[in-house]
Amino acid sequence: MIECQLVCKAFDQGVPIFKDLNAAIDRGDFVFLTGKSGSGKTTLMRMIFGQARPDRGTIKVDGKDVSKMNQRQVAMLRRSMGVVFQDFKLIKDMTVFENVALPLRILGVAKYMIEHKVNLALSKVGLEGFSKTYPSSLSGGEKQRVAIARAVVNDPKILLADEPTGNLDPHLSREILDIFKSIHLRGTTIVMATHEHAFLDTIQARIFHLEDAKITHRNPAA
Amino acid sequence: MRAHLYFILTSFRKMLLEPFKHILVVLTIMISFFGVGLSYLCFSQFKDLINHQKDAQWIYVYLQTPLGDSQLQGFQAEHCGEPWVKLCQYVDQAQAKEKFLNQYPDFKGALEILDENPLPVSMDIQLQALVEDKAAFALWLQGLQTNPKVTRVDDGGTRLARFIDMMRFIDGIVWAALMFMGVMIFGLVYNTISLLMISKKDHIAIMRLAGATPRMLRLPIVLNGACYGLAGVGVALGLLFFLFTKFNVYMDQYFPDVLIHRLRFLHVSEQIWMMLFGIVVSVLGAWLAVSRYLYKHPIQ
Repeated sequence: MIECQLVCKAFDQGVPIFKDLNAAIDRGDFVFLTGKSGSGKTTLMRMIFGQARPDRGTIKVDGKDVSKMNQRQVAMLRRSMGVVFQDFKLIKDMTVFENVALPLRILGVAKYMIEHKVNLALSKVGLEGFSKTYPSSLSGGEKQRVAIARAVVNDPKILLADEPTGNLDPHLSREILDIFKSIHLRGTTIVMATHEHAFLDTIQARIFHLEDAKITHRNPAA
Repeated sequence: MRAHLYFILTSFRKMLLEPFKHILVVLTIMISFFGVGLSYLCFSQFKDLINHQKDAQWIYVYLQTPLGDSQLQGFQAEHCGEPWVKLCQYVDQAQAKEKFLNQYPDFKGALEILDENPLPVSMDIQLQALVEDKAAFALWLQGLQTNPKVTRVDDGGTRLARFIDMMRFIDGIVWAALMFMGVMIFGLVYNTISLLMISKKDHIAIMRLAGATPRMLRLPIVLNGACYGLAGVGVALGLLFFLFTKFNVYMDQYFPDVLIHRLRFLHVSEQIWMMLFGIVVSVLGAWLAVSRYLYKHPIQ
């Protein structure tokens, strides 16, 4: 599903982030990306959804090389992915409903279907009744749920989550992880960058540990 | 298609919901096009006036003695075949008297007490609207003046040349003003849309993350630009028409004899051209602003 081959990437100053990095993520996998700050977790995620390009090597998603895609092709790729960020990235002047509906609007889905799918996505994350609320009235955990609902509303094949619990307390983090687990159970491939080592034992997931510009540790979870 | 339509309609709905964000740019386009329209209107009145003068442009060639048929034919063959001659009309003494009395009826008694008709015969030559070859025209005029049968030539040639020069000069000024205004409006729309993009950069980034194509982002903004242009030019033309009508009423009421021809508002085709010009310039400004933004922020 996602395949990185001999990927090299360096900071502007020439300090390498990745050196000949190889990794493969299969359909239906749940992968934790771990590593110290600056180890390249976010960069790898950005390269997978076409926000950054490798200096060398290829990153293939569903057999297509992301690094060679033009803007339109990247846009099309993103329609089959959901992305969740630590800072939620919600549009402030849109209601929860409109924020969640955005990917469906972009896909040109019919109005009645949008209503159905958005309500379904909101119920998955436990936010029924929040449709008309604006993000400014929500707590951090609620905002992150909205972001997750938006990421999964169009049933993506891949869900990328970049430190989705970074801004949340442990209790809320656990709730968010539970939501990810339930999404994974429906067959979605999930790649989650995280610092939370407590998560790693709670789910049967593969762990890619980034260190010294390589994936140094991969182990199937117990 | 449905997605494009949704984002276009949403952008227009937001324009209506937050009109003050957009009213400034419409107002500025309106002022610019009011200036363009007003100068074009004044120019076209002036051009009409000059054309009117040109159409009324005659050269009166006064002759020493009346011409016989063969002399008349000879004179016409010599002087009336040029391309700038519209009409060559021989006026004998009786016709000259009639013309004179039509113009000055008070002199009827004075003329009748004279034994002879004192009015000279003349060849009245009407010129074509535009004399292109000025050198040949000057030579032709000189030929008339040096003809031994001619006593005097009352020509409006110099005045005519001045009219033509002035028209060309004003033509140039109007086109330059139009171009200047065009560049100004283009810059204005470009700048406004650029600021709009910067203020919406988070919104745009999130849309791109969700899979919006560059065209999906560009189209609503470019159409908003077209709307600015259309509204700006439309209001400008409306205001111009209102002021023009008021001015006409005022002139008719207080100075009915001042105008030698009726003032006319911009022709429908001129209005359409102005509208198109406004829309094209605004669309180009918007398109360039969005494209530049998307180019500078290729993958967000």
